[in-house]
Amino acid sequence: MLNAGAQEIRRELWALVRLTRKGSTIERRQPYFATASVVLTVEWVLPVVLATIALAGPNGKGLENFVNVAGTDSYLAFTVIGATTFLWIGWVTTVLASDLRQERNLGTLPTIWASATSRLVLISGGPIGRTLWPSVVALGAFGIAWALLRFPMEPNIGPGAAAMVCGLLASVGIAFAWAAIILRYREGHFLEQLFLMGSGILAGIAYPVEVLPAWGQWIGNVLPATWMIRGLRAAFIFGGLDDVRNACIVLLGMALAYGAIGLGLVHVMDAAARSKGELEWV
Amino acid sequence: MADIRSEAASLLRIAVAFARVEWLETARFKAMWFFQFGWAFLFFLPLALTGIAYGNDGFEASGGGQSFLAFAVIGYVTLGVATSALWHGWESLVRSNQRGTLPHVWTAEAPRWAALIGVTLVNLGIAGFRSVLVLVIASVLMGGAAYIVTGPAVLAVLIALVAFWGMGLAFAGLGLVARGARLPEVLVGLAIVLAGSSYPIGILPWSVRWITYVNPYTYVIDLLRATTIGTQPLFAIEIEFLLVGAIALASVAGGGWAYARCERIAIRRGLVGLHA
Repeated sequence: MLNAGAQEIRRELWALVRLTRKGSTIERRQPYFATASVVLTVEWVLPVVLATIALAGPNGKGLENFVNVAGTDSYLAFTVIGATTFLWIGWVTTVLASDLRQERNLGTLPTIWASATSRLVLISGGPIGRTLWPSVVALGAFGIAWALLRFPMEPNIGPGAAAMVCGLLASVGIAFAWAAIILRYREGHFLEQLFLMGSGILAGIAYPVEVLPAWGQWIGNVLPATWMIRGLRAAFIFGGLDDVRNACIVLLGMALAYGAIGLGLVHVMDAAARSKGELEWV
Repeated sequence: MADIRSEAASLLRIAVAFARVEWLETARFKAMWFFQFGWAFLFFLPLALTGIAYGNDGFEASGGGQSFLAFAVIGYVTLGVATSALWHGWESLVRSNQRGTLPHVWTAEAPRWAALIGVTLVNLGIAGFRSVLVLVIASVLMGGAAYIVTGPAVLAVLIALVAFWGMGLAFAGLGLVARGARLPEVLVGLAIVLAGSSYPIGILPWSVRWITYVNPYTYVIDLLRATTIGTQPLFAIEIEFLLVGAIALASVAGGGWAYARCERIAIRRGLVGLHA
């Protein structure tokens, strides 16, 4: 695709739009469409936020330790940003990684795979459509949490949005690698879920990463979720625009590196899946 | 007497047969067991780290007791087991209907409740196994004294399982008559969030807290915590046992009635096998 002419790029973009629309339409017609993302968001974000309110205690009695480690007393903003961001990014990663598995279960994967459209577009088109609504829900959850809890925030919307976009790109890179593994190994989605759990722990969803041991912090630093949450907290809590810029640079580097590794892995696993007859497995 | 014995043996065989099918369909994958082990280990790490970041002073002042980790681990473990008893009958029937095997199951001379016990047992076993792993790991990391599983705690779990299996009967019936029924999911989601799994319900404003008092999950979690880690229960422990026992009886009676009604509707409308 990198050596493609203008007409070919236009055709690929058009295919991307069509696949996105197809993914969005299929998702919209599912009976779970209106409820699943809302229920999951409430089930995931609210207990975390309520737990931190209980830990902070009446009149902020339990905040002293948190302030010492995190460097801010804005614990609600800290938690809501961590929980909603990870929910969103976890969602995107899972949908992207397991979309081909779903196509395989429906028996449509061999047909899609026979298309002349590039693998990059085939893997990402449907998931973009399928994650549009959950993205709106995650953003809405953040807005509702802010409206209810009224935690103070720095109005750095532009830098925050930049951190989100860069974080999304880096996460997509990792998701390509998982899509490749799940394409080859049918039960690979269990490992992908464990990876997500681990990366959430190392990203510090409801706590500063400084409470992790040094090796945990080191591993966390090579994961997109850590830098994305760090960038968003820097933008909206600490107001440190230099930190946001640094996070964006690291995330863009990760997007390139993980994207290249992911697409390479797709190539390898695709060949292995074909030779093992895994594409036709239903 | 011989009739009763042969009837009981037949029901047992039916439950085991359905458990075997469920096992072969869902639980035989090695990756799934690897996931269960990994999940059990990773599950409570964020709870522990959150507890470390804040300390327990504020949590105690909020009325949650001396250890946030112990409080939350028991809360989530109870939720996991209870929800497993609740959902898997529904999931199994919907899956069977989608795959086209439900009409064959329906022609068998097996009571549906025995079949639903069979499929629930497998998933309950997995949830129970995962819960025990979590408790063992948490106990080892916390010095071994935190989670003493007492006789009353086991009794509370058993009553809770009956209660949630009974509610699950009603959901299983709904799965037969309404292909896209999402209301149970919404209600259960709300119930899970408002059961005080990771926070003491005293921190909620009264405009929301009343919901927790009509939520069966609240009493089951509260009873388990009181009998395992010795937190102060909402009511006297004997009254909570009676309350959870009454919920179990009402759930089985109401769930059985709702299931039978839904099944009649599904057969009359020709819905069994329609979604294949």
